[in-house]
This record gives sequence, structure tokens and C-alpha cells, in this order.
Amino acid sequence: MSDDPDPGLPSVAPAAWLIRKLKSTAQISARDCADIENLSFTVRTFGGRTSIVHEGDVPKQCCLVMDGWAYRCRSLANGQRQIFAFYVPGDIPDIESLHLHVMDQGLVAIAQTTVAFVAHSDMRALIERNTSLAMALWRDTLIDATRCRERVISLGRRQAVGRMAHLFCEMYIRLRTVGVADDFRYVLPLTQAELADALGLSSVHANRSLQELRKLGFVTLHRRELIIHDWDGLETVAEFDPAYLHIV
Amino acid sequence: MPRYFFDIADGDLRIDETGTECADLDAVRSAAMQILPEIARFETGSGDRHTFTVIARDVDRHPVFTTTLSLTGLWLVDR
Repeated sequence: MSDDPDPGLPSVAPAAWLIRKLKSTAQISARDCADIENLSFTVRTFGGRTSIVHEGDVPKQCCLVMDGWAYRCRSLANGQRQIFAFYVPGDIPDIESLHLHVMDQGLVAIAQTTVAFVAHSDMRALIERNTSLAMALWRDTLIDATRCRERVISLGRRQAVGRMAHLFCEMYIRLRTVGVADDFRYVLPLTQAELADALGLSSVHANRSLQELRKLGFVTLHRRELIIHDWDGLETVAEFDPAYLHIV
Repeated sequence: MPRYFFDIADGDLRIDETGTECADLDAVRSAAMQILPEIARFETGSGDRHTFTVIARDVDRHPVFTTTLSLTGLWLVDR
């Protein structure tokens, strides 16, 4: 863990992110909102490419992303790395640490990323007294698993261009759901190497796939801003069906 | 890290306009060798002869390395 708590950010902000996220996938009542707002959050900002939680850590808290992106990854002895999940504002990437005590993967901030930590004890108390929120959080972790299954399909069976298109589609829908993207454009803070590590491709192949999507007129990526020019085309080449995101 | 450009010919020639950073020439070589089987995995189409070639160029666009992968199929029965 690094950096000091940032007192400049309003304490209500983390709760608002979590409420927005949970409302996108579950029914959230006024009482649920009040319970989330009563949680005690500690806000911290991490620099780009720094670890928020390390592999092997035994966290006593979980974190809610407020700004920026984070990813979970595993590195192999041969120096290769697989990124298998991206997390954006409203997500709690390590909520599983409530039940799975030792982190089996690290969590890394991509660019500068602000997160809000909640003590496990507070989360447990919340879940014990509010069944509806417990269900919403359970649902959220199940959707994390459906995204992971979709990633397995990509890595195992989709062609390179399809993998990339699928990731671009998924991230747009997720970011738009929490109000961070609109009008078919969003900030994609990934380097070419990170994109490659997420898609299971070499860096050169990721670059070639991106140029292919650009040649098709589907997307452009300039100064970390991804613009989707042809959503239908991108969705088709990705075979993207947002059903697995279970947005209500 | 210096940037290298990997132009790939697989039927038609695709000029790499953005390039990839490589630590040194050994990294250029392994990137060039790695890309061809990756492409070939998905792009074998219908013909029985495929040739994939990559030419790696430095930032001045001078070619520094090339490699070729050939996939050749041959029927052993009458069709």
C-alpha cells in the first residue's frame, strides 16, 4: 500500500459510486443506499502501474474503484503475464478477499487510480444486517464470474480482432453504465503491451489487430481516447452480446 | 525503448503505421518470430499454400530483420 489518504475528496463520493454500480445490476432500496452511505471509506490515490494489493497479501479491507482503472493479473516464470480482469469506477475488485483470505492475484492501478477502502469488519456487519445488499453484492461477484467466462471464450476461441473488439464493446457498456463513458467514446488507459497481455496476444499482434479495426472503420485510438465509429460493426466482429453483463 | 515497425505480408501487405517498442534487436527478432504462428493459427483460409512474411524496420524504416512462415498442404488421395 502506498500514498496517504487524500482528505480533499468528499466522503460521500465512494458510496455514490457503489450505489450507482449496484443499481445497474440489482434493485437497490433507499434503506440500502443509506446503509452504503453509512460505511466508512478511506480514499487513496495510486500512481500508474503500482500495486493496490499484492499477490499473497491477506487484506483486512476491500477496495472500491472511484476513478481510473485497475487490473488483476498473474505473471509466469517465463516473464509472460496474463491480465484477466479490468475494474472501473463502482467495481470492488477484491471483494472476494472477504471470504478468500490470501490474494491469489495482485491488483494493479493502470493509470493514476483512486480507490476507497472499506474494512472487512464493516462489510461483514453490513452484509449481516442487510440481506438485500448481501444479495446485490453476491450478484455482483457472480457477474464478475460471467465476465471471466466470457474472457475464457475470447482467449480460447475468438480470433485476435474479435478478442479486441469484444473487450472494447464490454468496456464501453460497463463504463457507460456507471456514467464514465458516453457517445461511443472513452478513455482507454492501456498501453499496447497491457492490451496484448489482456488479449493473450503478442504486442505486435495486438498492434496489428488494432490497425485492422481501424482499417475496417470501427474504432480509432488516439492519445488514449477510444472512439467507436461503427458500434454494429464492432459488435458483429466481436460476436458481442451484452446479456452476460446482466445489466437491469 | 526504440520503436520498430512490423510490416506483414499474408496475401496482401499490411504496413505497420504505429510500431511496437522493443528493448533491443533480440526482442525485435523474437517479436517477428512470434507474430507469424499467431497469425497463422487463425488465418489459414481455404488454399493449400500460405506464406506469411514479416519485415521488421527501425524508426528510420530501414529493414533490420525478416522471417517467413510457410504452410503447405498436399492431398494424398484423389479429390
